[in-house]
Amino acid sequence: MKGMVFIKDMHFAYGSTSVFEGIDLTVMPGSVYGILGRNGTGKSTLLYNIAGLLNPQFGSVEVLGFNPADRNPDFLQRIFMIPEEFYLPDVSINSLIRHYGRFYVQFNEERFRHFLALFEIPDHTLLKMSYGQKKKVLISFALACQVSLLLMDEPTNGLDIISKNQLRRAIVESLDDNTTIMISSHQVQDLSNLVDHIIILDNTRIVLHRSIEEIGRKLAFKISPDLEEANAAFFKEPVIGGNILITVNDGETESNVDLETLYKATMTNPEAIQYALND
Amino acid sequence: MNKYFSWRRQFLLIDRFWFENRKQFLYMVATTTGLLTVWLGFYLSIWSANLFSPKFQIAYYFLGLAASGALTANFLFSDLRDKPKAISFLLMPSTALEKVIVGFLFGVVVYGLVYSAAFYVVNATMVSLANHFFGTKWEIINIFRLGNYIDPFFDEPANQLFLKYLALHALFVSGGLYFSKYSFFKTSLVFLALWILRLLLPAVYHLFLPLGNFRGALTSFEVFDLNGNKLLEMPGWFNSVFTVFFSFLIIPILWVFSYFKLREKQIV
Repeated sequence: MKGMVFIKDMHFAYGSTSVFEGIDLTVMPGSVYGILGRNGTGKSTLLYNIAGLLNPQFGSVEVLGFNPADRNPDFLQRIFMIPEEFYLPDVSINSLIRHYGRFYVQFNEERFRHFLALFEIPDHTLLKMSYGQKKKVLISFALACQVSLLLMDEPTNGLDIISKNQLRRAIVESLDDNTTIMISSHQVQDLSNLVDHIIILDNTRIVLHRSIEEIGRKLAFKISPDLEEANAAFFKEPVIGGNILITVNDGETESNVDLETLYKATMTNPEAIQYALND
Repeated sequence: MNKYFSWRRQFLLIDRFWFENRKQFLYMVATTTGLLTVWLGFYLSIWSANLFSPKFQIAYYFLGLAASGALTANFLFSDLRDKPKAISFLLMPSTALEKVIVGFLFGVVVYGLVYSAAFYVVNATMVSLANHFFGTKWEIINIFRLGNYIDPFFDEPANQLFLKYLALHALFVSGGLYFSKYSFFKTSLVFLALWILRLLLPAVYHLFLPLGNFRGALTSFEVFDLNGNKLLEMPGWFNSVFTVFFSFLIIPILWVFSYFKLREKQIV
């Protein structure tokens, strides 16, 4: 299968503040990638570089066979970005379809209305909508454009619990073999059971980039009262009833990946996690 | 699909630009018309008949066009100064060329026509009132035949002022794209600096040249000499190049600069 995003030795800095120092990344179609990292580690910057809104100082970025910096209209028709702070004009839903949808050749009005219904958005002007409702309109619009690459920067910010579930449902519904969704978030739990690949950024580098399936096959996540087992684990954190642990998965069944624990373990001891996954 | 230009995308973009900006555009036209009315109405109220001669009407037309046109030009790409809007604008599936064409169409052609129409209505009313009150017989200028009048600022056919206006407009469009903050103010300073430079240029030349004076153009210099003045002339084509550059080429050069600025624009 051909990759969708190729990043090679990318260096990026805001002035003298380095954000990335030679990162490599390949993103495959038909997947949902979760991008995690502390505030200021470059989650949004990575998405901006992929969208062509920022250009790396060194290295290369290739998306869908295009150089994003060229902002070729064919490329722009095949990607959509939902930024953390977004802009939507205060117009009616019908005007949005008429004046904005036509820029995307694959825009599907029926699909747009379907997602609006899923998010329980009333069919009136955006002027009267709350921030969360507007965000759901934008997400519905993005999904209706049926682009190959959808970039979502902190999409769950401003959404309530019910809306987060609706978002999850909408993303699962719109996935197919040719679509890739990259979601950045600092709310680790929001990505649980949604992403099939995880990318963790820290200190100008990608410290983890694996599929959930591989992580679940190689690592085991469990709560154990056994102190001896806890001491042998890659990672342990006390919880009620013992410790939550990450150990080598010796069994034949895939373990359920606890993203929050994996994230904490990677931030605490990335080498140990990498070592366990490379084994 | 053509990666530089497509008529389909161009029409979609025109439609979207008008849909998004029509209110601001109409407010701007209404404000300009209101200000013109107040301005000319004030002159009418101070009872000076000479203030409505064709020469003054030409001056009002171009001063109003330059001031409001510069503001409009600066507003054309104002979305780029707001991050969420900039993301939406830059990721819109169309090329930088198509976006610049929309800017030119609305900023120069549509605004120019609408302003001219608004000016004509206000000016015709005020001149008629002035003729009525002061008993004068001032002609109402025909803004579509400006070549018939003399430009009150540079003493040349008034239609040549359009070229200067278009250069000023293009400068403010470029400034709007080049400066990410306070672009109108900064571009105004650049314009002021260029104007001062233009005024100082002959004085600077005099520092390096013998005692004498320019004769009409900067390419012809008369040296004062007790044994008889001498005329120093640069080749005629130099003057032509200079004139063509500053009259005609500067406008497309600034628009091309704006195009490249937009093409390489990154969010801040």
